[in-house]
Amino acid sequence: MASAGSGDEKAAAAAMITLISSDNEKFEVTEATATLSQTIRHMIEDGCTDGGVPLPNVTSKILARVIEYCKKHATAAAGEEGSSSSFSDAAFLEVDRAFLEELEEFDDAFLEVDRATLFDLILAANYLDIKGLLNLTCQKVADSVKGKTPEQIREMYNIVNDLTPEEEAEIRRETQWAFE
Amino acid sequence: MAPPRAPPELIADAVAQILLRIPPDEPADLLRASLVCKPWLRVASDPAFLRRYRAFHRVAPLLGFFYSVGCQSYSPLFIPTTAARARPLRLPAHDDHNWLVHDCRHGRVLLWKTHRKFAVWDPITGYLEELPKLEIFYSSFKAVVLCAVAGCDHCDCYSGPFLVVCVGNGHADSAARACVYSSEASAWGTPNSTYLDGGYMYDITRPAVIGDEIYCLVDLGARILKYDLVKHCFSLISLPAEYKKRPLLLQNEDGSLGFAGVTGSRLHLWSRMVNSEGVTGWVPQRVVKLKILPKATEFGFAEGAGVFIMSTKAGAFTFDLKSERVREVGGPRDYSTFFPFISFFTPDYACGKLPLLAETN
Repeated sequence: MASAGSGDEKAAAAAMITLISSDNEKFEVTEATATLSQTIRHMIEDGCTDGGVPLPNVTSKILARVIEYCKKHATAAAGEEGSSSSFSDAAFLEVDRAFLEELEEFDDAFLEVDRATLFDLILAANYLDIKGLLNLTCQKVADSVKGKTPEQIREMYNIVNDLTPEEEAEIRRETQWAFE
Repeated sequence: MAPPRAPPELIADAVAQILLRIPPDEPADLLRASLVCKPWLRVASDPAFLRRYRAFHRVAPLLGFFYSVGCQSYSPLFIPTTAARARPLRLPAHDDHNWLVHDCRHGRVLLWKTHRKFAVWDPITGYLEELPKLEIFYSSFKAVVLCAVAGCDHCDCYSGPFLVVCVGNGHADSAARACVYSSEASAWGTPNSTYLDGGYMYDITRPAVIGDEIYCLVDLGARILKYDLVKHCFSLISLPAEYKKRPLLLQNEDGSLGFAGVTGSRLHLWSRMVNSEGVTGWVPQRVVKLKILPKATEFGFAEGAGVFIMSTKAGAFTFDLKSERVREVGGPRDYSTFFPFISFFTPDYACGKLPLLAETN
């Protein structure tokens, strides 16, 4: 490990990771925050984070949001770990519930974004392999297509229909059941 | 004001992550999403993705109920419980128009064809397997169809081996007999019999199957006959209470044997479990007031989905145990038995682009 130093300051400094967005903006985050991303965790394990981690697929605007999510969830995870030994069972459950509620509220507010940002977040979560964020954002899209026709889904997310009319007609015929 | 920025194009991985999370309970949602564009269609028709989809959701959804009526039927009788009101069924290539549904489990339908003859129908592929004639004679019987794979989650077993278990009593004696058909052997096995006091009249309601145990109502719902498929033995269980209307056996969410009975407008739910003194017995679980379903006459239950179906003079209604929501799903008829059809209906299933049972055997 790089954090072989004994001083608190040195250890804290060593636990910081620099993330570099596609538009070259630098973000300093703790290792606990960064390792919510499996992609970055592997890079840290392989010791290739010196001089910062370039993320050419993620803009500064989206990276800032992703970091916001990771910070919140890393804090919650740390809080849960800390509480398990220092509270009685009942108090632990109470704290646990409060954490979960707060986290849920945070997630709900976090999803209040336009559709373009939502797709950007999905791409970033997929690239960075952040399971919680990927689940949260993809579930939002999956829920939004419920009961919608293909036309409505295309319109919602500005997706170009590149199926030929023949292809579309054939599939509709085969799965007519879904369109009645 | 500038128009909102257009969402970026998603890579296949991200599309898969979205489609994976579309709930399976309305199969039409994934089917419609697959028609959005080529990249979405590519993901939604990829067999590996669809296996992952079924594994991700783990529990197959309730698509509807097969039912029987007092007389012979010339086409399968089915009530969809999905928003799409069409029937997701594929009829066999050679239909003999004899559609007396005897059981439905693990995505397969057991049809009682003629005396001592059964067929197993896969409503997804349309494949129908006629079973050889039963060599023993039953004066009264009940049969169930089961996936034959031990520990199967029934997410992807549509083309796998199955069993048909027929229990009943012989002619003019008091032996309870069980005979098992194995699709792998394409034959009925040697019947097992146990002498029990009295001959039993098997009820028309759907038996409950829990692990290797089959529970049937006998004697007009006065007693429960249990058959253990592994130990090959029969035993009798008493009912927790008497109900005027025909009660129902089911599997509770915790895996215990459940019992449902109706008095007036109340649905009583019981569970068979070991009490604090170590004795196995019936424990009342819940009483539900059926405010808008008075005088339910026949009913069925979909395990996993936790949905009852009940018939009244006004028609057939589903009742969701969790939300207590009541929905009208069918018009008035002389419904006699309901069989839940629980299966995934992903785009590969819907298009019939599946190897038929016969081809995979």
